Amino acid sequence: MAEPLFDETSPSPAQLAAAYGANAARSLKALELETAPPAEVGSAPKELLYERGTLRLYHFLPQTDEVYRVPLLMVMATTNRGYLFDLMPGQSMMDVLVQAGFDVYMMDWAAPLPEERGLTLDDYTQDFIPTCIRKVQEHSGEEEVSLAGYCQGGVLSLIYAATHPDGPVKNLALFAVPYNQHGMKLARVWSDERFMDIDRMVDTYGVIPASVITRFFDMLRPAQRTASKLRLWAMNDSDDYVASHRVMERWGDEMLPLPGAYYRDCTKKLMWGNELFTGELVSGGVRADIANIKVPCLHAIAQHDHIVPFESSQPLIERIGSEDKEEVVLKGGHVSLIAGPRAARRMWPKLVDWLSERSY
Amino acid sequence: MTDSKDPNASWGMDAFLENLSRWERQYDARANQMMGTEVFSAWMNQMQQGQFLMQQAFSEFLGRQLANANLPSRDDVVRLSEMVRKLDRRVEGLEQKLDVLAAEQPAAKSRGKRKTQRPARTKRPASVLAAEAAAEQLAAEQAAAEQAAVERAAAEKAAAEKAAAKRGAAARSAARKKAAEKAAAEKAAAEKAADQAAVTSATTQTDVDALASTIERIDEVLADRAAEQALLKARERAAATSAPDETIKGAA
Repeated sequence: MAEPLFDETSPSPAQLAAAYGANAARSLKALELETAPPAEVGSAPKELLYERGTLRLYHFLPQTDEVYRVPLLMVMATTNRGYLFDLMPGQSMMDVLVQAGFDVYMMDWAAPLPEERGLTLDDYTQDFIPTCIRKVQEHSGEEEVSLAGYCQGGVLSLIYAATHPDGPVKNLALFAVPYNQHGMKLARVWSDERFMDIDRMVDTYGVIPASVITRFFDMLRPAQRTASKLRLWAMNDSDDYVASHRVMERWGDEMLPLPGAYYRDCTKKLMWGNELFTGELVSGGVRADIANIKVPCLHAIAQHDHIVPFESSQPLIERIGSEDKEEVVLKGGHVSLIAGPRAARRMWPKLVDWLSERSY
Repeated sequence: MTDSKDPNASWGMDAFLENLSRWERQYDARANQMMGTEVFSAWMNQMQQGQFLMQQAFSEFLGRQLANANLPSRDDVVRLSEMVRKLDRRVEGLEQKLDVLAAEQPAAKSRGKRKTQRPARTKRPASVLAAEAAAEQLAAEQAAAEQAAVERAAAEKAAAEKAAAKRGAAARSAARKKAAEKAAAEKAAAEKAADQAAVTSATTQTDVDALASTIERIDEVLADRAAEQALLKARERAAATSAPDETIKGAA
């Protein structure tokens, strides 16, 4: 006997009509969003303290009557813009930190100029970071500085701290740092030294285009962009979701180019040689052994991080020389660890608590 | 919009989103599996090499055309930019040296001080404040306890002193009373003695008087007896002479 065309789970005509109307409205809204200007980001009040080529140093204006004695210098990943920390009101880690009474500075990056193609890993760790720390010291009047680095910004912070064990770093907060780069399986395979001619790549490009970086991230999650668009279409009746999606989408689209020499150093020393993990990395003439780091250290890692997998980030806290050290594994992915509503619930309060205990 | 009140508007959306998530996960997993191979890596990098070769060839071609047209190539602009950057860094170095020199000048130090109001760097974490508040409270409680103990001791001392003073006063009062009583007793005794003395004196006088009267009576008795004896003697003498019986009787 033939199956009935309709059963009790089938939609009623009223449901179909309403869903049809709603989907038409969703489609119109999606079209509107596609053509809308980029979302506003980075609204927390700040001043540009220092600027040199690709480097920007911002100071977020304090909003409280008193601040913690030790200023905080955030180091953003070199592949992305720093407004990830300040996406929009209600989703701004900077707002939270400033409101909690921290004097916050941020090392941000602009697209490197063609003449900056020769910047090396050492320029970032032995020039940019020390320069910014000096600027923060001058501006705040404090000798000690807390350093916080996200992703590759964490790698730079780690190398700086390891090569300046007697330096002014008071606390080291790290988020999703690819310490053991051989733990990044896909990136390791794609940059296999047998197949990848990094010197030719750098010589050809000079400055590695943002499209190369974007392609790398897209290849890690090939369905993500399409799924993200469809999810936005389905949920564009929620203003909160749309707002969050738009700022995050803008951030994801605004990848930064990288200086060729820096990219070459990162590929050869950090990815192929895994020198940070093995302790063989030499930066500024000093061996960057993280066992030299003795300052309090917090490492927050994401449970479902597809960019910096667990195997890559997890060994850090075990090997660092600090006695006061803590690893926090939080639910979420590489970006939701640090930004967005989940981070606001999970990571930011943890960071505020951890840092406040060590910043007075 | 559609977060309308009509529940039918979202009909099928949950299932759609669920399927979308499932598709995304499965697609990513399969793609990563396929792309995570050496074969894929070799192919991808080979393609990239071809791209580099094309880009180099095109760049050289364009550079030649620009040179022919007497226009600066990208490399020329980059070189120029590098020169500007070097100058910029030298100026920055000079500025830093000037800052150092300026900071060494004592007069400049005060001039260079920030004029804008900045928050005090005195904030402390809530836990420390709570601990400090607890410590302060404990110290206050201890101080209060100590103060109370001191006050109690002082009160006790005062009470003791007061009691002692009271006891002293009572003793003194008692002593005074006793003394007064004693004095009174003495006075009374003295008075009594005086009275007694007076009584004694009076008794003596009475006795004397009685004695005197006794003596007087004795004298009288003696005188009577002497008179009787004289009478007797006279009677005896009279009897002896003539009528001694009648005289003797009359005398008796």
